[in-house]
Amino acid sequence: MANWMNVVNLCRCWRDANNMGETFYARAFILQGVGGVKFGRQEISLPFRKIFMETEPPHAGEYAAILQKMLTENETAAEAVRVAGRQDLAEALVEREAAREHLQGIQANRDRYLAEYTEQHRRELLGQMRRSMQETLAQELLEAGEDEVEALLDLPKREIDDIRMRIGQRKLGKQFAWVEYESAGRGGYVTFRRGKTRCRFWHDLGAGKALMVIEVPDEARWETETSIPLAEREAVLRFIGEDTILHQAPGHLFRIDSNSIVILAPF
Amino acid sequence: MQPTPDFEAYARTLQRVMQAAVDEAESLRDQARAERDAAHADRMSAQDILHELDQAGRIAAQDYVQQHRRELNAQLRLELQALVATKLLNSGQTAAEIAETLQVPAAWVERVQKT
Repeated sequence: MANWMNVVNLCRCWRDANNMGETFYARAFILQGVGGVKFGRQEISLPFRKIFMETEPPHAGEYAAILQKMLTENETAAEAVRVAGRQDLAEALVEREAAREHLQGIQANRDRYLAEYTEQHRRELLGQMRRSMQETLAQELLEAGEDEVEALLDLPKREIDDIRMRIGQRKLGKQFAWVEYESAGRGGYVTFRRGKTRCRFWHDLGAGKALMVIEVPDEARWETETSIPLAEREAVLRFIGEDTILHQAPGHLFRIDSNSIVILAPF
Repeated sequence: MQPTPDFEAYARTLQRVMQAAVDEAESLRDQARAERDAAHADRMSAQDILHELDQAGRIAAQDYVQQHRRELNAQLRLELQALVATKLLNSGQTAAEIAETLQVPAAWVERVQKT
């Protein structure tokens, strides 16, 4: 029993060693008469059951051999702890040196870094200005009746569509068309635009329910005066009527007569 | 009968050896931590300097663009118009047509064509 108590005490010592540090732990455990001792990741089994159950204690020489083995393995584990610590420090020193060199490199090349940053921001600003100029030119080209503006200025179709919407261009058949308005006293001009086509019609104030009358060529004179096929006349006049209501007389109606488009009050 | 081994003495030896190793490892760990803190401080200093230079560069670039806005815009416009003129020439349009579209002198389009 005295031997058993000594083993228990030994285990307690190892158990206490558990709290000694983060990198190393020793643990002892006794469970239902079966025991073992663990150092770090290595476990050494002791014949606790045998010690506990047998009436006669094992030969003292056996304990000596077991404990000598423990001492050796303990030293190995302790060395492993030291090696891990040295490795960690070596890595930290490398990290520190890299950070120091990086900082010194920046301090020694302040002018170069400043020049690079300045150039980078200058390029960004010029890029923004170029983009803005592309949009301005795109609008000018669209207003001049160019159809292939995306390809001409390398702009996305979505942006061109946005500009078209902003300047009132809408699809008419396969092409985009738009209407421009000019005032001149009581009347003015309504100009139908599609591609390079440009047709200018006089408009005047109406009377009664008619707010405005846009004079257009009748069918007989249509092609001669507009250079637009007669087959498209109805669609073109409808387009002008819709656009006029949209931009000049919201809430009004329009009627197409033989030689005019009449913008009407709704009631 | 052989004497019973002194288990307490073995345990003390084990504990002493391991305690010494742990003490050394903890000391190394503290040194490593100090080095890492210093490295972190260096990195922060480097970042601060770069940020400061970036801001100075931004301001210098803005000043430059502000001072030269008119010339830069004119230059960009010419460059883009030349690009468009070249594409329109390649598509078969005449210099006169292009000049009308771009609202530039026909002679300028002809110069673009030659270059």
